[in-house]
Amino acid sequence: MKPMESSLGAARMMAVNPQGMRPSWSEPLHEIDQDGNLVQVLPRAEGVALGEYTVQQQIAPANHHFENLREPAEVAQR
Amino acid sequence: MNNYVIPTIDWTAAMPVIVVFLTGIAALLVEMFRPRQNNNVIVGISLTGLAVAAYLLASQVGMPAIDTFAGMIRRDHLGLMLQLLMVVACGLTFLFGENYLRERRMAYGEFYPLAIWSTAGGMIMVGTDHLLMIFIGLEVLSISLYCMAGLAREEQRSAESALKYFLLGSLASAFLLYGIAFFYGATGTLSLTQIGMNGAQMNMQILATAFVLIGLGFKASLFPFHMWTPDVYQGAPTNVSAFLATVSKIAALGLMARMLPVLGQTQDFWFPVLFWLSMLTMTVGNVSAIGQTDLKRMLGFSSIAHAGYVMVALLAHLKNPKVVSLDAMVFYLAVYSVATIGAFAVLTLAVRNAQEDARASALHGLWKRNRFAAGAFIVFLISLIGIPFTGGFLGKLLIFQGALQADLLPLAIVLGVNSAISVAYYLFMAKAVFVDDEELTGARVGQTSGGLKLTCVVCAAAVFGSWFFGSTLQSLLGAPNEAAVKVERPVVAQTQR
Amino acid sequence: MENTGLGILSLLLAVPVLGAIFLMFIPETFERAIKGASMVFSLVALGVAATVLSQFDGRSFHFQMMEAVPFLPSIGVQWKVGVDGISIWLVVLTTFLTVVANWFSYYIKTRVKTYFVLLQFLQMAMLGVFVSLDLILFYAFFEASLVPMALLVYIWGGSDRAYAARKFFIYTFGASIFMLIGMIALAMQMQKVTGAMTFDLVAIQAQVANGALWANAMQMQTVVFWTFAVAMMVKCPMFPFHTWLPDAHTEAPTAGSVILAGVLLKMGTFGFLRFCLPLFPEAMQNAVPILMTLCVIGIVYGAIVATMQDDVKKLVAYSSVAHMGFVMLGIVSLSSNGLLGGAYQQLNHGISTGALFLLIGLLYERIHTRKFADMGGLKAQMPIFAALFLIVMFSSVGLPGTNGFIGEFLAMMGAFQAGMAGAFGLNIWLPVIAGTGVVFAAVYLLKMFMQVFYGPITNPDLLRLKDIKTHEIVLVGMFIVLIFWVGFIPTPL
Repeated sequence: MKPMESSLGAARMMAVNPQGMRPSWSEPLHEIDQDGNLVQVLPRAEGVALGEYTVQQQIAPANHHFENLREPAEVAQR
Repeated sequence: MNNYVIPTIDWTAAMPVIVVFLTGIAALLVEMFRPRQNNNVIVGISLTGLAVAAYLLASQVGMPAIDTFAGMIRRDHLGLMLQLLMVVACGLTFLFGENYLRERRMAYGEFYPLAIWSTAGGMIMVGTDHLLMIFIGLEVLSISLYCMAGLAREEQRSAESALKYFLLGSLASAFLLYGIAFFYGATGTLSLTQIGMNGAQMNMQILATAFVLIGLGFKASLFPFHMWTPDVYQGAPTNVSAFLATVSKIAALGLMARMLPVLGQTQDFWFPVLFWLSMLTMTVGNVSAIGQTDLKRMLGFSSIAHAGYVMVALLAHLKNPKVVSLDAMVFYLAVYSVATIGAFAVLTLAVRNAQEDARASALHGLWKRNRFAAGAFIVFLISLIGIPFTGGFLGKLLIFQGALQADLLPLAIVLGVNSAISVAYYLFMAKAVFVDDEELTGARVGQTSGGLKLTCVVCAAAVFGSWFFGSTLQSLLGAPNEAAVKVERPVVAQTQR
Repeated sequence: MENTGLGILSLLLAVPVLGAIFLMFIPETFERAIKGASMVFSLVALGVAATVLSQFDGRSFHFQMMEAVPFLPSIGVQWKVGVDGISIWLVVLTTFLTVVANWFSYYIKTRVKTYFVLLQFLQMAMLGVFVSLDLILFYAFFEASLVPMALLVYIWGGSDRAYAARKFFIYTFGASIFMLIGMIALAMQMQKVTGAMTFDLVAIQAQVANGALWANAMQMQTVVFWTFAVAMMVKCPMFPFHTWLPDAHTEAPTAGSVILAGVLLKMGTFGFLRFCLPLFPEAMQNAVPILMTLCVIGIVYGAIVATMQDDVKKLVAYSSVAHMGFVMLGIVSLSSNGLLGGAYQQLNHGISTGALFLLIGLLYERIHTRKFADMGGLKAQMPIFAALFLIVMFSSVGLPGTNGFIGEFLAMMGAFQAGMAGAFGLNIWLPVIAGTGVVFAAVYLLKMFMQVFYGPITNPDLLRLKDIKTHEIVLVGMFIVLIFWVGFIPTPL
């Protein structure tokens, strides 16, 4: 994952993911991992670089929206 | 009448107006004994007097709102701010005025006393709650202005301007007086606050409000009472145009801001009217400005448009006084005034052979020969357009915000459209300074006096400063809201009861 | 993470401002000193930008080097800046292209001081757009960039410059004033939800992410979204708001064209990535079919019109419309490949089209014409120039191995993926039609190359021409290095 990709991935997920699965800039514990998934990370210690994090759990897979297109009702609702 | 109470008199509240009046008299006395064609002493006295008045006004900021002189004079935050604005605007027009008057060979000393008294009239208008005082103030303001507009005695256009202004202005004064009479007939009082609380004769009150609004609409050059503006601005000497566009406009719009919130009972009637008028004022002002060839006319139409913008701020406050304060309006008046005075000041450079020529070609080559004035001119235009990093933008932002908070989305949209339209003619003006054809214009343009430079520096600093220190400035102006919401009980009303 | 004082990004913005102030004090007659000082300041800015890049941790999507200082607390405006993976590259691109513009402005002979002061202010405004994290701050820089650019076009532009400058100004200003209204509406919605009025992008997005902001306000979301989207579409520019671009490009001085194509247009696409996607999720998804249709029309229309031009600069300007269509196509497909492609393509378009305008400018300085009819047969006179032109042109066509390929390819792929999956009501046909734009690109660019460099020499002026000078080769060479570097190893981005 290169710098642009994680930021782009975040911007995309902010737009296409349903509530609760959107990354947030104000939430330091949200990160986009190597495969582009949105993950929850453990709190970083003081002075640790932003990129050094330990994944706690996955919040949303990288392509949540495209994988869940089978539910047209949800799409229509939006 | 057996319980007659001698009204309390608070001289501090009346002092600024008195100082301004006395300054005018002092200037007139000096004028009688002055050395020929040298107004420096008069300018010095005038500026000193205005500075003292400004200091007195500033020192009263934060004092409690009071009514004094038997309800004839009211001091509150809104009034103080508007008076301060007028004094400063008047002083700014003096800074560059003297050199211009000499260039045009009409350095008549009576200009200064007239302008000072005119300012005092404006100060009376916004510093009272009493309709008669309002009328007196308006007349003092106007009569001095009629003379000033005709200052260029030997020029036809100036005479035409003065006559036109006089005829239409007296008609407007008559309307205002008629309205005042109706108010008195309906309610039996001339105090605005008491009229606002009096529910008698509503139909007559509506009629009265309409007449008063016509009178004030003329002064503020709202559509459809704006026809005189471009003609008068074009014909009057440029420093008088600057004065007209700022001091008299602040007085008229400020008075509306003082009057209309009180007349809440008839708001259902006049609010929609003003709503449409402000829309039309903006649009007509901007659309007519496009295609003008005379820059003073153009600035005249621009001032009509800006009066419309100010009306939006006022209407937002009237619609939702609890949430939207008047500070947006006062702020906008302030940034509009400095930018307009600055722009007119630069236009004085267009004088040639003691003749006025404010066609765009008169500014050609300005950038080359007078970088300083040209740069300042661009800054003022940018502020009038409302580009960020100037006070003009912040003012517009506050107006937009107020309009949205008061649910006046149509006004916000029309204001947006108008901002875009206005770009066309402001750019036309801006572009004139970059054109290089010296043969066409002669090398006349470009001698700046110290006063003009000072005006440009002060106005440009104000334009940028009001952006960078916008929050401080806004909080300074912001106090009127609290005062307006509280609605001070007039002292006199209680003693009489 | 959040710095409450001023930091390196403020320094980055301060450098051009200091530069402009410094330049103002150099007497007009010292042209070389002005040019030199301006160059030094833009190199310093490039250096600061490089420092920012080196300190940037690319593994996180969060904003970094953030600074937040209250600016207009009464209405919730802050001086809030920061960079993330999207903006950092645009910051670097901006400083790089400003250095190039300074270098090329060697040719400016009239009103030298004014020119370089404006260039410095323009750089400040452009950098400000990319680092702002406050809506009003963004708007301020967005609008502030108009004034220097319009003046650059107006004062140093071609014959029809007044019209072009006015059109540019009115189009952009007219659209963005409504964005301002939208921003205020957004801040007021924030006030309704959280109780405090704020224009802080991060705070607003937090409310969007948890769904609180737009709950029961779907209609408002749509309206506010379109105020933002239209402002960005005018800036991009997207069909049908593109008509200012050919005029502005044609009339602008070369350095102005380079910056206009390289940076100013990116403000539009960047605005989509920064605001439209994160802040208006549902409205953005609903708008995808409309936006993508407009992109495809822009791609095809821009390409067709470009083939019919007889003016080199107009041709490249219309090709810009088509290329920016590809950028937007990738972004609005809302698929990971599409976004990546769009973001790559906006950088690459900056490099390729910037270089094309630069080359055209070099040529224009020599022959003072932009018409194909006056050219032809230049290859014999200027072989090195022709070779450089060919490389840059291939990059613009999107030949594999150059930078143009990867972005266009990914953008198309993203659009196909979205179309095939049937996401957002899309189908396969829009990307298919967009694909024809790639063919057109080859047609018009090759046609241009043939008309300029091959055939008999009809214009006797051309016989006197010599090949370009060494320092000009170095200038273009920097672009060529970038073209191949990004083309072969795109991964560092």
